[in-house]
Amino acid sequence: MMCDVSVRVCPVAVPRRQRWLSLCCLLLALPLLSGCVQSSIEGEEEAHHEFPPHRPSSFEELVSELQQRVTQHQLQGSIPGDDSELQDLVGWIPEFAADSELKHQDFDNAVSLGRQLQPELADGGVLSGDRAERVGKSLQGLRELVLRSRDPHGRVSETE
Amino acid sequence: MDAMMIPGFFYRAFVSLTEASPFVLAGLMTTAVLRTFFGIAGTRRLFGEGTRSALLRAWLLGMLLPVCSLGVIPVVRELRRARIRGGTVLAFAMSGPLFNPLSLLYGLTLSEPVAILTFAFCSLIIVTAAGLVYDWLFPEHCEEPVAEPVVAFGLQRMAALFSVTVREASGASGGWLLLGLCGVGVLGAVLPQNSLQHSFNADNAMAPLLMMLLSIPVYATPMLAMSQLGMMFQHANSVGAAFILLILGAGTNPGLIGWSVAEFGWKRAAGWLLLVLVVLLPLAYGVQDPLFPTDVEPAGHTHAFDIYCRPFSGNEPNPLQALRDRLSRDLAPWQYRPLMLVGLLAAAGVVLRVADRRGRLEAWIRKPVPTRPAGRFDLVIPPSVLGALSLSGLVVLSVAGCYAAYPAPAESLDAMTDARIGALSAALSLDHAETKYWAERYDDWTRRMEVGAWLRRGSLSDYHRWKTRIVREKLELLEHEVEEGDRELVLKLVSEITRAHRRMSEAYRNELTDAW
Repeated sequence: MMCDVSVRVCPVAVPRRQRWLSLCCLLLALPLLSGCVQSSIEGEEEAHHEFPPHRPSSFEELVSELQQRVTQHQLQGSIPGDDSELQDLVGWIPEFAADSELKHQDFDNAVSLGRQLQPELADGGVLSGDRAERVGKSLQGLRELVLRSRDPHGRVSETE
Repeated sequence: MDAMMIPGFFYRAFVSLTEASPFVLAGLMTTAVLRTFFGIAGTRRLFGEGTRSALLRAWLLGMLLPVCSLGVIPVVRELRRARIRGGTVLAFAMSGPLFNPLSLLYGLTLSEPVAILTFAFCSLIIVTAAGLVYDWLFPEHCEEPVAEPVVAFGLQRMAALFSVTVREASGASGGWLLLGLCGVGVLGAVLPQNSLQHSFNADNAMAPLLMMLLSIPVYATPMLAMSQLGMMFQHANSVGAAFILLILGAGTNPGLIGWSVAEFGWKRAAGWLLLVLVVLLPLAYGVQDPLFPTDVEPAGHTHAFDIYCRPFSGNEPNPLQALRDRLSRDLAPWQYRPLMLVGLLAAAGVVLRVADRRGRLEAWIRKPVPTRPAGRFDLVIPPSVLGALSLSGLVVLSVAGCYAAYPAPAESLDAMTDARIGALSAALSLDHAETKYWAERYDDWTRRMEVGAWLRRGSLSDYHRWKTRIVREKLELLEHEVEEGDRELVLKLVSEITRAHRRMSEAYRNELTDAW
């Protein structure tokens, strides 16, 4: 019962098993040998994160940038949906809201306003009428959060 | 040959062995329980041998038992001893190490939850499809072997458990386990440092294929594979490659492959591996786009595989001392305890083999069962009940272990203090190696805090997830800037991390400390 020898279903002769064990060892040793050739290869440099130039440095800057771009589109009559950088800015709202002094409820408000803005600014056509009004309201909501996103010790921006 | 190749080999193999030891202990215990309490007939019944549900049971038992791809080796040897069909055994061997309660929780909270659930479902597809085709291609007539006598209760039963455990630890299972560690050791000896950082980017169509080549020799514990998955999702790397890492990196190793070749012959073993790859690759490419994280900026690199490359950056004057220093720095004293236990069991097995060549212990264990217990009030619990209790106990233990591994937020915040101070002060002195070391620990504690909060509350808000994520992202930037040696940026980032940590701490302490 307690014997350690396993009962085999597909009998394989013991020497064959040993042969396979040797082959496995040999296969594992091959890369080690090939490593002798590679030993001169120097380790690669660490990879780096690269941020796009239009990435803001704080929630306050993000809201201000959003406002500017929306106003610009309205004045020029251009289509905000074609502005990929504007879409990026809207997508960054949760990240920058989390990286600010906003408390839980304010963070949720910021995320919710961002979600409202996303389809409005991604749609085709120029910003006008009800759509422009809805975008304006969302931006107003974000602007109201800016004050509470600031550092209580007087630092305006997290990264400044 | 580079002087640091051998220390690199031993470093990676030893660290993996240390990480594997708790899972190896679980595997040895499972084997002893199966042989002593269930016996051949009971084991066959448990795995549904000869029934249609066999593969599903193998997958489910594999998901529940806390074993890794090394710890599963004694268990699959025991399953073959009970003459369970090859497809079922291989399905269990592959699914056992993929998930356990501890790693599933880690994955559910840290990567995309939908992705982890999809991965779990896909693993079921892989093992059942490959198992079915395997049994069809290589049919086996597995007759039930002659029933073994039941081990007597009391001391004989305890001795039987001990005997199986120590003999497995010191026998063939131990040998296959050491072979399993060679793969990760060889990679640690030959792969140049940081050489895998750009290989698994989402825009690299070959990433899943490359991962397939890497993850066969790799050994990863379920927890390690899950944390690597988390890092890959954090960096928006190839989702297909992440899936292959989970299935092959956690599910196989050279020892397990070597065992299957020795057990089934090379044709069947290669057939199984081929079948798995045939099902795995299309699934990996299929999940690539639907599961790609949409809220993450692709980083264009990953640090998840730095641990498979050479651990030493250059030639050290004293390689042995460098190896010793690195091991004492990277392994905490408590991590040696399960390893010491495995070592003690293996040593006891060697002693038993030498001292008891005539098999007197086995003969005593096999003595007939007494008709009634010695004491008037003694109860004899049937072995099958004890077996079921022991296996359930292992599962319960791994679930309970989650609460110890993932403490409450307040405890995690206290525990991460050392790592935070270590990372920030090392960064201020522009010491890259120290910064990286402490930043990894700091990062890990933020992840464990998330899981701990989720475990105790059943949910975690986006607000809390973002707070920890911000700290982790800034930590990674800090590590890069320290390497660049840009003091100004480092100072700025240290200040940012201090503020981000304060906010994270307030968010978790103020809102989540009421939970038990």
